[in-house]
Amino acid sequence: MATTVITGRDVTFTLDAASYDAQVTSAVLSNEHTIEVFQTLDGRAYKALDDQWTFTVELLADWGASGSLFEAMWADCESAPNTTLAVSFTAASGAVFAFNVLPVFPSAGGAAPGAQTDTWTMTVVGTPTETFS
Amino acid sequence: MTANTIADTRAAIKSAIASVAANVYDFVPETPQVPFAAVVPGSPYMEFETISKTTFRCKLNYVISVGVAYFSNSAALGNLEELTKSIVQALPSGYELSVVESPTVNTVGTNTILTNDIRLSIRYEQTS
Repeated sequence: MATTVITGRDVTFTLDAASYDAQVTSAVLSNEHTIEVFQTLDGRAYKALDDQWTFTVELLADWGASGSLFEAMWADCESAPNTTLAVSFTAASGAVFAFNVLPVFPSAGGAAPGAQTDTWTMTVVGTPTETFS
Repeated sequence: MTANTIADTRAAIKSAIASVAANVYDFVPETPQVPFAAVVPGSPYMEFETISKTTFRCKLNYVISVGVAYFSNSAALGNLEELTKSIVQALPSGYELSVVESPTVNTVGTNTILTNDIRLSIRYEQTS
C-alpha cells in the first residue's frame, strides 16, 4: 500500500460536547497494558490482565474568555469530580474513538514571555469504543 | 485576538501602538519618516500549532521595526530605547513578547537611521 501519513492537525475532538480544536496543541489517547509474566515448567507464559486508558491534551489557556474551556473544566471538576465527561476523538477521517473521562483541575499561570499553557492528563473510565470506516 | 484577515491582525497591532510618539506603519514603507515603528512579518511568519484543519488557525510572528534619526550615537540610542519601551507598554494583552534585537545602523535613501526589532507573536483564527 502507499505510504500514509496523518498528522496532529488531522485530529479533532469534543469533550463534554465542546470542541477543543482552537485551543489544543496536542491530543493523545494512550493505553497502559498490564501483562503478567509467569515462569512455568513449560517456559514463560503471558497473561494480559488489565488496561488503563489515558487521554492527555496539551492546550493554550483561555481563562477569562467567553465560553472558556478552562473555566468549564474547572467547574466540572469542582462540582462533579466523579462524573465522567463524554469524549469523541477523531484521529483522522474514518477513525473515531468514543470514551468517557474524569474531569481534572486545570493549572493556571505561566512563564512571562510565552502563552499560558497546560497539560491535562485525564483518566479514561472503561474502554474506548472504536469506529473504523 | 480574532481578525478576519491576517492584514487585520497587522492593522490591530498598528492601532494598538498608534499612541506612541512615532509614525506607525503596518507594512514596509518605501521611505519611513523617523521616528517610526513598522509592523512586518517575522520568520517563521506562520506556525501551525493547534489540532484540526477545519478552520485556518496559526501563530503569527511579527517584528516591529523601530527606527530613530541617527545624528548622535548616545542620543539616538536613548531615543530608540524610550520609543521601544513605549511600544512594548502600549501592546495590549494577548501578545507574546520575546526579545528586542540589538540596534543596527541602516541607510535608507540619504537618511541614516538607528533601528531595532521587537519580536512578538499572536494567534490568528479565520472567522469569515
